[in-house]
Parts: sequence; C-alpha cells; structure tokens
Amino acid sequence: MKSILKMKKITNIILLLVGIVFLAACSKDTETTPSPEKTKIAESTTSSGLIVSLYSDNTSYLVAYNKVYVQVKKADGTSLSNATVTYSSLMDMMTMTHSSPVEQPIYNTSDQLYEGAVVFSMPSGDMGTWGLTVKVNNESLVFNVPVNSTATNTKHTGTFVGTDGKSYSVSIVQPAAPQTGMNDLEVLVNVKQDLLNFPADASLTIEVTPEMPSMGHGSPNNVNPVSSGNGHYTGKVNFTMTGDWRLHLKLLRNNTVIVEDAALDLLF
Amino acid sequence: MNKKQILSYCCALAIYTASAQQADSLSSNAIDRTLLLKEVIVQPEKEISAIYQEQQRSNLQVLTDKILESTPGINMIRRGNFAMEPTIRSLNNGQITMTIDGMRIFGACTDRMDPISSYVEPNNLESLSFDVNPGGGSYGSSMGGGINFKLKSPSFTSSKKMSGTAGLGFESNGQAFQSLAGMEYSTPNFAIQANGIFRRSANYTAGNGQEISFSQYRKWNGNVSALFKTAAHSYLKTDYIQDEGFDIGYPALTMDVSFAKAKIGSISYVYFHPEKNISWETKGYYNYIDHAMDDTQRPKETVPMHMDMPGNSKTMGAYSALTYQPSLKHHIKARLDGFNNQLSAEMTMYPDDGAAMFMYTLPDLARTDIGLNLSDDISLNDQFNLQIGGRFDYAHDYIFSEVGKEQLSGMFPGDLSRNRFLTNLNLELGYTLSHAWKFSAEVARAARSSTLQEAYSFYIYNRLDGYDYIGNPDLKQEQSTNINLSTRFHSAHFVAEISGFGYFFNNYITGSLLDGYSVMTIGANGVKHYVSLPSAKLVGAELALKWSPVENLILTSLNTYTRGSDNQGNGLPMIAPLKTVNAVLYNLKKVSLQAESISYAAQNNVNTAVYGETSTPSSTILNLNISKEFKFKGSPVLRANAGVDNVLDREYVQHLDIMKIARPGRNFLFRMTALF
Repeated sequence: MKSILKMKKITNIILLLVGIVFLAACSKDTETTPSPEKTKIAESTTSSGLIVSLYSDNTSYLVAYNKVYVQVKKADGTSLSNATVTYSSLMDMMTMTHSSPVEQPIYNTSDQLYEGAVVFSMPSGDMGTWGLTVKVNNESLVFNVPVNSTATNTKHTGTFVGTDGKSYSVSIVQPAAPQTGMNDLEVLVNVKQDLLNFPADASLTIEVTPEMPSMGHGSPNNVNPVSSGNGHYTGKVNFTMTGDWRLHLKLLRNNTVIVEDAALDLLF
Repeated sequence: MNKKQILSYCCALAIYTASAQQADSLSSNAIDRTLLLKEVIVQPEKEISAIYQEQQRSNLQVLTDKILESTPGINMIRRGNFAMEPTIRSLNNGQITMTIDGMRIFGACTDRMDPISSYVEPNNLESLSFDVNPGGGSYGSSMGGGINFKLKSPSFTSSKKMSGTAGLGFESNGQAFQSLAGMEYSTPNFAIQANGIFRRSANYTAGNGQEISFSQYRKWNGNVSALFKTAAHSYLKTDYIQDEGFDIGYPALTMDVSFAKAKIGSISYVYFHPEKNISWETKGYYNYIDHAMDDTQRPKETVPMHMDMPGNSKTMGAYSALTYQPSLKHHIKARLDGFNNQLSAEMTMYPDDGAAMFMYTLPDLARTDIGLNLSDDISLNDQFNLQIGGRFDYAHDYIFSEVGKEQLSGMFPGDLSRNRFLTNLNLELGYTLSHAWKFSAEVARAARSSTLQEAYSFYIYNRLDGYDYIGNPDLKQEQSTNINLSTRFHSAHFVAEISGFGYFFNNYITGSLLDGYSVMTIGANGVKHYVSLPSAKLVGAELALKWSPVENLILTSLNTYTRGSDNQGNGLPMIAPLKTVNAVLYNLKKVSLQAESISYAAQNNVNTAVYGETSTPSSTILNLNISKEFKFKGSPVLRANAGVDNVLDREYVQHLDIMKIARPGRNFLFRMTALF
C-alpha cells in the first residue's frame, strides 16, 4: 500500500511537472487558453462568426453536477467578455424530451470563461442524447454532448420523489475530489416543476449521515449542510477512510420530512 | 591489583554505567562490592529472585518472557504463546518504560503484539534491571519505573582469547525447538562477539488436551557487538541486533502476525577513569520495527472481511550518561537523552463487493523528547542514606505527514501538535538499624504524557473490552504520588523482605464510551476514546522469603499482590491478583533439583460494565526441573537440564491472559548448552 501511495505521489509530481511545462508552453502563446486541466468538449461558430467552445473539468461531462465553461472568441481570436450567455439542456429520448437543472453562467475575468453548471441526470447513449443549447447574444448553438456515467457503484446526482409528491433533484457539488478526513460538503437541490423547469430550492433543511455500505459504519463530526442560496447547501463531511461512501441526505421543510433518504454514492 | 583484575573492574564499571542504575541483582557479588561505595538501599526481593533467574538463564534458552514472568512484581499480559507484554506492579504500556541498553524502542503493532522484550533473547541478554522508581534512575518519564534489558558485551582480555557457546533445546508441548550458537574473540584492544538463536514452535496443547490453534511461532535473533579501545581510558562500542519473527499466532486476537522485524543498532563512546571515579558513556542509536498482521491463515468463517494491517516504528536517539563519585559520601549520576519516534500503521480492507478501503490506524505520529536525569546517593552517616533524583522531559508530539493530518482533520479540529513538560521526582531514605535490619521509605512524584496511541489512535480495536478506540490529543498528563516502604531482615540462613506500596493517580488515562459513534471493526461493541479520570489508586505489597535450613537446600517464597480502583471504586483492568511462587531448590554436587508451584488467587475485583473485564478463577501449577553441569578438562562446560512444566496437566488461565485462552498443559523440556 505504501509503495502504491509513493507511486501516486510520484505520479502526482510528474503530472505537476508536466503541468508546469504546459503552462510555460502556454504562456508563450499570446492567445488565451483555459488552464490545462480543463478539457475542450466541443467548439462551434455562430452565424455572426463568434467561436464558442465548451470546456469541462473532466475529460467529458458526467452524470453529475458539472461545471460547464464557455469561451466566446471573435474571429480575430480576442475573447468576448460582455456577451449574454445562457444554457439550457435537453434530453431527447425519442418518445419524450426533458431538461435538467441548470445554473446560468457568469463571466469570470481571471480565466476569461463564462462559468455555469448543468446537472446531467442520466448518461447519453441508447436511451437518448443530451443537447446543450448555448445562447450567445440571442444566437443559439446546440451542442450534442456525450455524458458518461460516473464510476461503477457511484451516484453523484439523483431524483427522489418527496412526500409532497414533487420530484427533487439532489446533486453533490463538493467534494469534487474527496479525501480521507474532513471535506467541505456542498449539495444542490432543485425541484422539478415540469419536464423543462427545475428551479433551485433553497427552503429546505438537510441532515447528512455518511455510511460505508460495505462496512455498515458511519463517521463522526459531520456538519449538516445549510442553505447558502440558489439551492446550494454547505456543510462538512468526514470520511474516515478511502473506499465506497454513501451520503444519506434527509430533506425537511418546516420540520416535515420531504425526502427520508436521498442516498448518493462516492468512491475514492 | 593485577592487570586482569583491573580490566574486569573497568568492564564491570562500563556495564554498570551503561545501565546507569544501581548494580543489578544479576551482576556478581564481586562487582557489587567493588562498585557500591554507598550503602545498598533495600531492593526488595531482588536477591531472592536472582536465584531463580540465574537458574533459568544459565542455559541461555528460556524465553525472555519466562525470565520476566518469574521476577516478582512483573506480570505478563498474554495474547499468544509468544511476545508477552510485561507489567510492573500491574502498571503497563505508557506507564512504564522499556529500553534495551538504555535505547528507547517503541513497538509497531497497534494491538501491542510486539513489546520490545520480544526483541532480546537470553543469549544476548546480560541482565535485566527493573526499577519501580520514576525519578532519577529512569530512562523516560513513567508512573512506575521500567525495565532495561542490558545486552551482553564482549570484554577486553589481557591476551588473545576465543570462546564459544552452542545449545539445543526441545519441548514436547508444541514440539518447540530452539538452537543457539555464539562466539567471542577478545584481545587487549579489541573484542567482538556474535551470537544467534533460532526458535520454532507449533501449536501448543492446553491442560484439557485441546490444541490451541494459532499459537505457533518461528523466529531468529542475531547480535553482533564489538569493542575498540581508543585510549587507556576509553573505548568505542558498536552493537547491532536483528530479530525476525514469522508466522506468529495470536489465539487471543482476531489476526496473527505474518512477520515482526526489528533492526536495532547503536554506537557508543565510553570514557572511564576508575581512580577518579568517573564513567561517561555517550551513545547514538537507531531502530526500525516493521510489523505486519495477517488474517489469511484463519478460517474463512471467522474473518468477516480480509484486511492488511502493517505498521512500523522508527526511533532515532542519543544519550550521554555520567556517573561520578567525588567522595565516598556522594554517588552522582547525570543523563541527558533525546529521541524522535515515528509511528505509522495502516489498514486496508477488502470487501467482497465494493472498493478496497484504506485508512491509517496510527496516522503518521511522531514524538520528539528531550530528557535530563539527575540523581545523587548521599551517605549521611553509617546508618542513613538518602537518594534524591529527578527527571525532566520536554516532549513534542506532532503528525509528520500531510495525509496523516488530513485524515485526523475529520476527528480533531485545529493544529494537532502538542508540547508537554514533565517532571518526575523521587526521594528515598534508607536506614540501617543493624546488620540484620534495614528499612527504606520512598516518595515519588511521577508524570507521563499520553502515549501517541492514546493521543491519536484512529479506531484501534481493543480485544479486551471489544471497543474501537479513538485517541484524545488533549489528555492531561497522567500523574501520581508514589509511596513505597520496605524492610529487609537477614540472618545466616533466613532472609525476609517485605514492601508495601501505593500509587495515587491524578488524571488517570482510561477509555470512556463515546455515544453516537459507529464502530469501524465489524462486531465491535462500540467506540471509546481516552479520557482522564480525576483519580485512581493502585496499592499492593510484596513479600519474599528465603530459608536455607540445611546446606544445599533452599526454600523460597515470592508473593505479590496489587489492587487497583478508579475514582468510582471500580476495579481497574489488567491488575494481577495475589500471586505466590514457592520453590524448593536442592543442590547436590553438580546436580540441582528444583520444584516450584505458581499460584494465582482468583481476581474478582473487576468491573465488566466499565472496563469489559471478567473475573478469573484461581490457578496453581507445579513445575519440576533438574540440571547438571558437566565440567571437562580445560574449560568446556556442558549444562544440561530437563524439566516438566505443569506436571499435573492443569487446564488454567491467568487474569492477564487476554480472552482467557488456556495456557499450555504438561510440557517436557530438555536443554543442553555447551560453553567452550
């Protein structure tokens, strides 16, 4: 185990070195490129000639809460910082279509990207394909984005039917890279209004209970997430070891249990 | 004095200094007389127990555990047939110190399967000195002193000399077998010794004829030691021990040990000047303990989930110890020491479905400690002598890796490094009423910091009470006030020694239930963490008698009793009940016959609800032994002995046996050792 850890350490160092080399290579380039850990998922050009690129923190979008970054460049290569950009997602399942929770992007001056988020609730594949519509200054581009499942036995987002009859989408925002010890916990809750509208729900109380399903034990010192606005709830979660962890999230509204056990699974 | 005498004096002095303690009972009388310029303070039972130990040690084959077990005041916590853990007057673990030649060594096992006593063997053990005093004579801060295993050292000789040892032994129970060999080469300026021992045992059989599964072991131990004379009054000494155990079964635990390896090295510089009564030793040392627990040999149905649990312990340290006798009235000892210990233990679990799970049980813990000992034995007059001593420690505990810190961040908030300053003081007054009667009274103030395990354990399962334990970095120092009163009477044929003692604790460290925590170990009863009880006490007495009614016949009786209670009056765990060892020793020419009985009273002063311990019935066993020494022309000596342990094949357990696994039944022993 130790040697594996050591290997990991070495790999990390190598990755870091590679990263530094990349950075150095990039800095020579006058063109602004997002930092190298982001992957370009797709690129398209609007009829007015704006080049719109989609980026992800991962090598593809996942069935999870995904940060979705958009770069908008003019034909001459300069970034456009004052565009009005909106996202909408659509799953086309032949017999029906539905959307998913979306957080509209805001321009981030430091990396010159429009940063928003989309919860993809199922993988693309035989069941259907995900279309992500990016609207830039009233010009719409539709990207067919592949959405991959997360690792086996993990579940980063889920839809749970509440005692009030409504469906709630619950997604893990943080920890994106869980580690042993205390982690920041952030969850996003959206309520399904109809097939196309998933407004954020900031009026809940959440209780978190982590569990290792293969051991049956939990962990102490967790802090229940409290609303930080826009459907986000932040707290703390303590992972005492690596492995499979299940987060049992209990959603309450005015002391009434809405969802008894919104269970999401992590693996690290 | 001829040259030889001077040399032996020098060596004796060196040995004496290295142990930096009162000359041990096992050193010969000649050395005692040469060195103890002061009055001998009453050392209860030492002389009497010495007969025993010499008997056992003479063939160089008896396990160190057994030698310790027959020392009054020492009881062994037993988890298997190997590597038992010593307690002194029922004080254990962090409450006592265990050192090898003054070196601090810390076991790597989270289940305390590897007390450091398992890394010394009788063939490399010169003596063991055991001190109940937490003050000036100690090797670290403690509640009740400690045990120092003094390693055998080669010695300079006036002319070139070569000698050797070889031995073989067999025990019927468990088909145990041991073999040893050693050699020593000495010249006036250089001396070297090397020795090794190999031991093997299969499962033993208890008194009811039941084979105890997972009680096997296999190990070897090797030691090389060399002396180089650097000047008339100084020499260099190097010492290296390697001890490797394999496939060691622990029937009382849920896992065995696939290997336990120790590498212990040191180099020291000794300056001695007999005319000026100065001896000064400076030593640097390093040791590395590597340990891996193993559940792969256990039946599948008893292993809910396979896991790997390796651990290691690294200690680097140094000390400089000076003894100086400026006059007949003073015997001054000073010692400055320091060490850094790093402990790391981890657990990887492999569920049938799901990903492997990894965590540290000891998340990269470290302690740096610097200590100073000072003591003076003052002969006030012919009747009174006073010993005054102190030890002062500065200890810094910290987590030495980022992953360790991250893992503990979920358990304890904030920076987890801790600094402590510890003071141990002792004062002892000896009074010689007459040639026959001696008295001594001792008071001491002891303090120790929590062990790294007590401070930062991460769900370590304790088999005794069935709870997972979590550390507590904010434990206060455990402190105690110790009182010890002793009397010694001796006449030509009769010796009696009696002592009574009390340890009155503040901030006694023990486990306490943590509500709402879920267990990590499958099947554990719950989770406990370490807390400080406001008070606890431990009282007891020791009585030793030796009577020699006729020549060549010696009767001895060694009796010890301890009783512990916490602030609520609950019996403390791991307290040995009344123990009595009675023996008859008869020497006829070169043959000696010995019969002994070892009895323990029942221990009913237990609290199952609080400490998880259950009461233990009384037990008695009978052992017989016959030894003969054959002398040959020239100097070779052959020592042979045969014996039967537990002659009546009793099925029995003792109170400090974890899980009360029956001890070995009848066992025939045959040992032969040649010295040439």
